Amino acid sequence: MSVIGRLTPIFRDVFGDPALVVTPELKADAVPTWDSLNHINLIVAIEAEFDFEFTAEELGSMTKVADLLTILSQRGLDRVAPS
Amino acid sequence: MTSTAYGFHDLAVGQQSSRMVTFTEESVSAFSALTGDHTPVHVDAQYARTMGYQERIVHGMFVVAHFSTILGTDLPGPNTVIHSVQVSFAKPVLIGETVRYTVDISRLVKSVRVVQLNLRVESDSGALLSSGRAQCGFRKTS
Repeated sequence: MSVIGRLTPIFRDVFGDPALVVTPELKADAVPTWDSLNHINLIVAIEAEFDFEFTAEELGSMTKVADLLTILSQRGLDRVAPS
Repeated sequence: MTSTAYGFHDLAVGQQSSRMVTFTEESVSAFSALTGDHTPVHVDAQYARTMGYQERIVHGMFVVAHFSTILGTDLPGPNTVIHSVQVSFAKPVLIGETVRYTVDISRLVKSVRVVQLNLRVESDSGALLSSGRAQCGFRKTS
């Protein structure tokens, strides 16, 4: 499964939108329920799915999904199949 | 009982805290008055018996409310706020009953300073009455 394919159900669950389309260009301001608490919930869920911990620098660098994809790629997590 | 002001790094998975709570006539009446929930099963013993209960049952939301105390005061404590609580009610708590509340840490998420916990309420005989999960977060300044 692609990374976007693994991220999509996480985003849909956290933001309560079963039709949400996750693209590299997606930003928080395009999702009405992407508030500060759900941002934390998103981070918590992504760490659980990919079994790693974000650094503070990584969290601070993310402004859109493409940034998240870059982080996962740099960590080699885009090539790991889900268990 | 005094508050324990843990920092995130003071916590560990498996760490737990417990409290005993008695649901008295007065406390349940106060909860009914405060919330306006005078549903018969909580205030009318005869009605409760027609529903198959031996005594009036405590409001489920009142049962949950005591998790506010243990989460906010004991574990993870006053440096955190509650993000979410999910609870299922397996069995009712009867008015006059004393129960044990227990929370234990199931996951610590360092990057966003989040604490996830298992919740449970047990009768004095150890029967599981309610169980669930909670998520709490440390504020950036603590």
